[in-house]
Amino acid sequence: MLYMVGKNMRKNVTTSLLTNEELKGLRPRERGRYVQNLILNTLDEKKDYALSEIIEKTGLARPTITKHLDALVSTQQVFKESRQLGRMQIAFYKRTGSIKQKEEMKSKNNESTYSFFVLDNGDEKSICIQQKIEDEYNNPTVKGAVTINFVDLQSFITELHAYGARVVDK
Amino acid sequence: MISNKPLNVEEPKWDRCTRNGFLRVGNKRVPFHTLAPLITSYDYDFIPYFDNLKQHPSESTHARMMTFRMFELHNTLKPLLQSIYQTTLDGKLAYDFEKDVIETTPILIDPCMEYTWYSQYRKILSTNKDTPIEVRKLAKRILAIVTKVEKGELTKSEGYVKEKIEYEKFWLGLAKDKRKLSDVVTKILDLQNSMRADIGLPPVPAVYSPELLEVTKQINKIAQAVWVGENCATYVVLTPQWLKSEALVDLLIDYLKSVDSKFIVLKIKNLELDKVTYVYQRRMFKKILEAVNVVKQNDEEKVFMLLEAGYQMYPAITGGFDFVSTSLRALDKDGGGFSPDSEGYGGFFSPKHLVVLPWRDVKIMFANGGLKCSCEICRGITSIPSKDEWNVLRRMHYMLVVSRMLEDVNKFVLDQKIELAIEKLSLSELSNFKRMLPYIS
Ligand SMILES: [Zn+2]
Repeated sequence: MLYMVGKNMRKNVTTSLLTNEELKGLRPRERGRYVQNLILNTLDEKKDYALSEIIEKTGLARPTITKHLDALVSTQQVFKESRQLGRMQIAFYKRTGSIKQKEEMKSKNNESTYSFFVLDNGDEKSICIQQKIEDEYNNPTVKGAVTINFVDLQSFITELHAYGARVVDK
Repeated sequence: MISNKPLNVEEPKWDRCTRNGFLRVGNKRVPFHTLAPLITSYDYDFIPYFDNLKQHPSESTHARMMTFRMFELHNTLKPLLQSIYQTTLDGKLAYDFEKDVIETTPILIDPCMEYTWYSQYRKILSTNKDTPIEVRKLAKRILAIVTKVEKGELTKSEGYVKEKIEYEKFWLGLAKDKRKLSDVVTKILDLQNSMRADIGLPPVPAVYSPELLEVTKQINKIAQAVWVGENCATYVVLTPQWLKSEALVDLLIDYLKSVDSKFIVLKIKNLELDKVTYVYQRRMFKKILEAVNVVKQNDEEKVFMLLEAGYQMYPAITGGFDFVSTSLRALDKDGGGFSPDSEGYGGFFSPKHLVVLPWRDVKIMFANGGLKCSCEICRGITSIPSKDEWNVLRRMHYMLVVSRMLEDVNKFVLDQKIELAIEKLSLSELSNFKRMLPYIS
């Protein structure tokens, strides 16, 4: 099934479906961007989607989708949640919610910037920390990220302290 | 990686053919009815721009958006971005204020691919390192034809035909060669992104035929695909002849109505609708404004911007476009320059007449008690400044008076009195523009 841009879709869908020929014209990196675009446009902040639904909506192959979904999950652009349905463990995906209260910290040697912000997903809030590095024009790119749920924050900090004390030279 | 900055319209409020509200792109927020000055040089544009924002922040609230040309980045944005985190000896940021402006002001970088068709900046385009090699080569091939005409090896009309063939061969061919197309689009969008552009502008050619409009559609489509997120514009650059044909205008309108992007940017080159005989063209421009209104009223999230608006700046912003860009000289037509009796002094934008008065008129103003303008800049000018000073001050004046003018439009909408904008046009030298506004007969 083709990915349809219609009235029932989210309003901010901006990606038109490329033809096979156009898709082949893209270099791997751009193809990746396009696929991630499509996935993000398919997903919603409010509703969970199973992998099969995403495949159906985008019309792309399963390995392509899983590869790029993983990348989106690791940069905190998409939330993944596994749920037990009967005997099956099924993963559901949704877009990360709105970003609130952003603060930045520069590392001492100035190579990395750590951005702290609150992700509000409606029913739960979490702190997200992104590590960014900058190019010659001081333009940041996200290298990695971690999300800590508000309820887990205390134990996370305790563990981080304990781990830091063990591994960092005093 | 091209970044995703969510794009949203906030607090829209309409009065007939125009609306108030804000555009949010990522962390930046800018009110509608804003001028995004075209910054073409560091000394004459960038420094005065920052000066105004610093010295007169409340007078420049509707000019907090910037447009750059891609082939001028090395003279404008690049040096600033490279030095933005430099610290002074006591450890403070040397460009603290500029950094803050860059982080709060939406930035657009225009690829200006139309200069493969127009001669004005073709030479610069042909050697500019930021321009993809394919485009540079095209510019060089066309320049070689121009040289042949100059040497008399080709007649003017032979040269024109050859230029046109070369130009069309490249752009029509590019739309067919998907790999090359994606390379050119990606290179240009990547550059815009690395220069902190908040809205992507695809590298579209100057369009004078339905075929070239199809090329534009193709380029926009690929750009949307490779730019991650909502903040890549659909961009159309038209030649002024486009407004001479209703069939062509209808084609454009069909396209504007069909695109998915939230941000739609239009540029009509060398637009001079103030010419008295351009009755038909004014009607066509009105038709475009009406279409812009229809699109926005059907989908509140759509945002329109007119680049190189020139004198059309005021009717465009009161008639449907949310943002406009002009140079700080107020004029956007290629070429021009100083008239012989200007003594190197550029003209003065009259906030009352809405046109640029030549230097000889400004001199008369000085002789009769000073500049007829109450802006922060003009109030400080009591005698004729030096040429260099004047050419900076008149830009700062333009920015402040236009910002104020657009802020007023915001107030008109708030009070549901947009007819005051029509009155302003009636009292200006551009009174024939008032009928261009939608819903006015
Ligand atoms: Zn003034």
